[in-house]
Amino acid sequence: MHFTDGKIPEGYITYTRRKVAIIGAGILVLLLLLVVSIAVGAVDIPIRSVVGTLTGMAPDPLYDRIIWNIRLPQALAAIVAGVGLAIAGVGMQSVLRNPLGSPYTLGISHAAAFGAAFSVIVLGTGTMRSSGADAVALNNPYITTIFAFIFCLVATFIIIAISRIRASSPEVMVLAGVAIGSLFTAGTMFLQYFADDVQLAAVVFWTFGDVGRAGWNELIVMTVVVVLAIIYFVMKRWDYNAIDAGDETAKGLGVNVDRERIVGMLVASFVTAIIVAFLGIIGFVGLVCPHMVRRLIGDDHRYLVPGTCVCGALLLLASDTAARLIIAPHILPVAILTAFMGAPIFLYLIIWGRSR
Amino acid sequence: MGAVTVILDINGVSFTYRSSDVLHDVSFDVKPGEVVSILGPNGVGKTTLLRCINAILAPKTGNILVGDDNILSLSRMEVARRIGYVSQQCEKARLTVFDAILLGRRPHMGWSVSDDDLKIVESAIRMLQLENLSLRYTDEMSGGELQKVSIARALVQEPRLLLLDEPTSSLDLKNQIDILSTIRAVVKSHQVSAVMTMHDLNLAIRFSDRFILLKDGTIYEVGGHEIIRPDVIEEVYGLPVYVETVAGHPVVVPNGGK
Repeated sequence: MHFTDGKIPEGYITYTRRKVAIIGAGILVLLLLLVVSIAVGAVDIPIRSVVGTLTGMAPDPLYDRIIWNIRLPQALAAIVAGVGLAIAGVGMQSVLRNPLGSPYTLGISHAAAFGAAFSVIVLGTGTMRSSGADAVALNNPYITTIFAFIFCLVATFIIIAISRIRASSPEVMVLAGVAIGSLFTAGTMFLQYFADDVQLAAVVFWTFGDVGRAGWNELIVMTVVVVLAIIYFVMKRWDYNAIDAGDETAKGLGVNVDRERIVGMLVASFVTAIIVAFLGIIGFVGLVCPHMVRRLIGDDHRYLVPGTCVCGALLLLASDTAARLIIAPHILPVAILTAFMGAPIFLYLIIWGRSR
Repeated sequence: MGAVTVILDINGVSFTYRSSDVLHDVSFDVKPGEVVSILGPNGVGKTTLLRCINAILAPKTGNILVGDDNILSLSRMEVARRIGYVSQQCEKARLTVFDAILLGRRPHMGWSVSDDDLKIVESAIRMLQLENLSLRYTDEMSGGELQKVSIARALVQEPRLLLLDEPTSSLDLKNQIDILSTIRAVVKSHQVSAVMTMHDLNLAIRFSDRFILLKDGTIYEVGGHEIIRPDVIEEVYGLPVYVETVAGHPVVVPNGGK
C-alpha cells in the first residue's frame, strides 16, 4: 500500500524547529559557562585573557599555564563526564523503560568503584602523591578502568536479569539498585579495612568524584569513549522511541528489543566505568539530566539524546564551578555538590514522577 | 504485487508454551483484499497465533509464508516492512501523536525523515481523524485515542499484511465503526490484507470477509458468513445463541445469563 495524498504539516515542522532551537541555545550557554568557569577560582582571570589565550589571538603569559594545565582540562573533564553520565542515564532509562534508571541509582557506579578499589588495593595500581586536590594518582589507570568495567558488567547483568522478570516496577529496580550498591560498597569497605594507610587514603580520596583529577591523557580517553557512546545512542534514537511504545510494538517495527536492551546497557556501563575509574563516583547527573530534558522537549530521542548531552555538560560544569567558589580557596569535589542537588530531585521523582 | 494470489499462507502451525500445547496444527491462507477475523474464547491462542505470524514467537512445527518468504528466515526489519502489527499493549510516552505515528516509517527510513514520510503520516492522521491531536503528547491521551495512534502507526508502515490484536477494545461505538470501516477501505483499495482477533462477534461479522474459528488451540471451522450459525457459535463458545438479522446485518444474540 502507499498513501499519496498527504501534505507536509507546517505545524509539526515549526514544533520540531523549536526543539532544535532549545538545544542550540543550550550549547551557546555552555560555551559562555566554559569561559566563566575557566576565569573563576583561587586566582581570578579576566574574561578577555581567557578568550585571548584560548583562541591564541592574545595569549596572556601570566595565566597561560593555569589555563592550559589546570582550568581548561578541569572544565573539559566536567563537560565530558557530564555528557557521559547523562547519556548513560538516558540510555539506561530508555532500554529498561524505567524513569529511575541511572548508573548511580542502579548501583553500577558503586560496582565500578569497587572494581577500581580492588585494583588499587589488591593489585597496587594507585598511589598517593604528597598533597593537594589531585592527591591520588593512578599509576596504571587502564588496569583500574578494566577492573571498574568488569564490576560494572557484573552489576549490569544483575540489573538486566531483574528487568527480565515480569512486572519489575521502577521501585523494584531501584530497590535492587540499592541492594547492589550497598553490596559493592560493603565490598569496598572490606578492602579498605585491610588496606594500608596510603592505599586507604588513595581509595577514600578517589571515591569523592572530582573532575579536577583528569589530565589531558585521561581526558582524551574519556572523550573518545563518550563520543562513541553519543554516536551509538544517536543511531539508536528511533529504536528507543519504538521501545517507549512497548516491547511488542517495537518488535513489530523491526527492533530487536532484547539485543538493543543488552547492548544499550553495556554501552552505558562502559561509559560509566571509564568516568568512574578516572574521576570517582559522581552521582545524580545521569538521573536528573534526562528528566530535565524530558520535561522541556519530551521523550523523542532524536532531541532527547543531544539535549541530555548538553544538559549534562551544563549541570556538571556549573556544579564544578560552584564547588570551586563555595569554600574558596578550598576546592570541594564536585560529587559532594551533585549529591546535595540530586537527592531532593530524586525524592521528587520517586514521589511524583510516575510517568516519564 | 499484481500477481500475488496469497498474502499469508499458514501450514500446520503448532506452538507449545512450557510443554503445554497452545496451538495445534493450524492452517489457513489469506488473499489480497481480505479482512479475516480470528474468533474464539479467551485463552484459545488468538494472540499467540498473531505473534507467531509476526515472528515474535517461533512455532514448534509448521511454517508461515508472507508472500513467498518464510517469516522465520526474515530479519525483524524485513518482517516490519511486510507486516504492520497493532498490539493490545499501547504504552504512553512524552511523544507527540505525530512522532508516535512517524515511528511507523522506521522500517523504511534512511538516516533522516523524508518529506514523503511526513506526507504519509499526515495522510494517516487525516484518515483516522486525529488532526486535532497531532501535536499532543500520547501520555495525555485516552486509551481509545492511543489505540487509534497504534493503528495509524501500523498503516504508515505500508505493509501488505496488517495484524490487529483486538483493535477496537478501547473504542466507543462510533469509533469502532469508523476505525473498522477505515481498515476495511484501506484493505480493499490497496489490495492488502488484515487479520484481526476480535471478541465482539457482531463487529467481526460486519467487517470481515472470512472467519477462523479456534477451539482448544485448533481450527474448528474456516469460512465466510455461512459458518456463522447458532450451532457453530455454541460449539466454539459454549453458549447457546440466536443469529438474527437486524437492519440488514447478521447479529449474534447470546441466549444465556438472566
